[in-house]
Amino acid sequence: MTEQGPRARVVRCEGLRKRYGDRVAVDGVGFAIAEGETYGLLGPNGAGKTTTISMLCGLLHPDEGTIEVGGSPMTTGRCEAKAHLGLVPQDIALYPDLTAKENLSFFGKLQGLDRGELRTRVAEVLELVGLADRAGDRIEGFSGGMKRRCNIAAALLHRPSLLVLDEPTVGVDPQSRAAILDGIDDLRREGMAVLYTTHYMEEAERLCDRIGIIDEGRLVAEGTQPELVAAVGQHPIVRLAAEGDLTTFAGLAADAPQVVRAAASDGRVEVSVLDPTRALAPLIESAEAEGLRISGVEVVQPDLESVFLHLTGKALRD
Amino acid sequence: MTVVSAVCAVDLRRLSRDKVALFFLLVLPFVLIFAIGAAFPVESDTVRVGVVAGETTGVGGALIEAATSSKSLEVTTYDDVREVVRDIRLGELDAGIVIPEGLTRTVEQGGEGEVSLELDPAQRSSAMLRNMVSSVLEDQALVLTAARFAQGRTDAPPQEALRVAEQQVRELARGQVRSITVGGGTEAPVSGFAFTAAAQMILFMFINALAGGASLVEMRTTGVADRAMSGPVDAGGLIGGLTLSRFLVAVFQGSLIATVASVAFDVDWGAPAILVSVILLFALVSAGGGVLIGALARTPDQAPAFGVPLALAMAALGGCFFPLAVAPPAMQVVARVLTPHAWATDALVSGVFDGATIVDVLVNLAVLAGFAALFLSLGVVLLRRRLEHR
Repeated sequence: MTEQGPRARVVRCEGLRKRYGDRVAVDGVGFAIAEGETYGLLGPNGAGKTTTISMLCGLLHPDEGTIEVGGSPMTTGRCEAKAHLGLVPQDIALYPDLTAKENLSFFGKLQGLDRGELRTRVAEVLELVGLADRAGDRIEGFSGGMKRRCNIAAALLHRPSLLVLDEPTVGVDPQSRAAILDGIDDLRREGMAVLYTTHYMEEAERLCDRIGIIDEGRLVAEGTQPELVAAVGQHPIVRLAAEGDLTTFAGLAADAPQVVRAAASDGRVEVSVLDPTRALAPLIESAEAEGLRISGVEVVQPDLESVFLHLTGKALRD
Repeated sequence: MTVVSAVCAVDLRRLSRDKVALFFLLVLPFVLIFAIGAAFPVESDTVRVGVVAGETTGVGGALIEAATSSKSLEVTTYDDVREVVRDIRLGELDAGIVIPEGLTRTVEQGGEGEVSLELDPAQRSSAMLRNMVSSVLEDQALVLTAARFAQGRTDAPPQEALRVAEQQVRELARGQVRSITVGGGTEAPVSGFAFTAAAQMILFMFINALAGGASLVEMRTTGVADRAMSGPVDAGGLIGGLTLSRFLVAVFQGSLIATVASVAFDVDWGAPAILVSVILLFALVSAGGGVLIGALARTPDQAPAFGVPLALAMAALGGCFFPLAVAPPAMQVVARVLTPHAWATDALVSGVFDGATIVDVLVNLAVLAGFAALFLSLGVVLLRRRLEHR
């Protein structure tokens, strides 16, 4: 995570709305991202993530709302704001029958890089994503992870101040995923603002300084991970695996100090507590006193998954 | 312009690596031109005639002079009619003319002279040869009749009467009717490959452009267009580059077929201005068709799946598989209303077969320009809508 301090705002969008016929795809979404910050946009399928990203990148005109990137207003035509933005689409937006170098040269030309700068930047970004030794190979011969890395490289050629990544690790092996996440973290440390959407909660937890949760077109919560957990009132859970009268024990435990609630099911008791360090020992003593034979104890901290479930009523991959 | 040229260059580079597209571009048209053209061999313009001359003056002399001065006859003199018959059977001669000794004298005395023709019934030139001989004999009969008439009325010496009659017949000949064979406007023989090459040129320029519409769909559906348009590129730049590449491929296709047909198949294209104009205008039509199919197809596979059968149907209707002139009049009208192929093929064929100039095919060129404008504007509008309004 980044150190805090006043940082320039790279992206600011307010009151974004987009309607398709009777269906409201995006309803009043707004957020800001500062330089060196990674902002995660989480939401189930159809929540409005892609529509929001399309508007942010100037591919779709919002019905209402404003977007500024690098201090300039974003529009669907040619505009100054687009010079600050690098998009990594969810699909592999590369030509499979061209080499990595040819693909990057093509996108660099579209970005208006001159010949000398183009050659330098293509070499640099290939090095950055670890594909320098495969520069002359066609994309169609690459593994899924290599294609994803090249897909990211194409968005970095013109040194954007905002990198927008739309689920960049879909279908990638763990090793390549780790390499991609490390690379994004490096870019953030160098001061790049990153907008990141993903279905993988652990990626959001690892990468994102702040997270916006979007559902049915609305931004239902926003903040750092601890802020979100606190905001939705989620508590740590002490999970006891035991044999004996679990239902009676759960009733007793619910009235104990530090305990918010307790319930028994499937050979275990789950107890929500305010502070697990203070609640754990009395709970175990109480269980033994009730004659339970404890076979396992687990403390589960609340995570984004549980926050997400609480806010949207759905798992992230729904 | 940088965007247009970059998009165009990358599209052409991708084409150069597509083996199927290269087969359709560089191989198949010529295989078809050869296969179909070979079924319609060159019509020879000369008839090989053997002449056995029993006399070389008078009527016989006139016959020999008519035969040797004809561009259509290649005359060889023989001493014996049996040698003529033998060479006809061996295929070394197409026909023979046997002029009997004393033919002129027989005719002058009011008798019936007999010139015999030895003909190969399989040769279509036999009728032409028979007409030529009959025509010369009729001319000579006319001269002799006139001379005899003059001699009877004026008591002039026979030689003087004959001289005056020949002079009068020559005067009359100045006003003779000149016959023109339809489709025979050029002096040189028309290669059997000429129609096929013209038709295949039009067919393949269009078919390859429509199949190439797949690259437009691919750009739309893979996120390449999104990535480009999230940068300093608008839809116009992308569409311009892709249209330019389709146009250049069509021009290359047309030029290649014209060159190879000319060099390898001896096709004379007639007026170069017609050829160049048709290639350029039909390349625009083809580029428009490619952009249109690229805008309408939802997946890259749909472009050739729909485009190729559509191109074949338009080519068939437009006279690329058989001359439109042999089709019923109603079908000719339909072909001209629905397909640019009919106008393009007609313009090329007019140049090749009828010796037309560019002025003769201005209407064709104007209609082609109209089709190009229609296809291009429709394609660009639809593709822009696809790219900008999702």
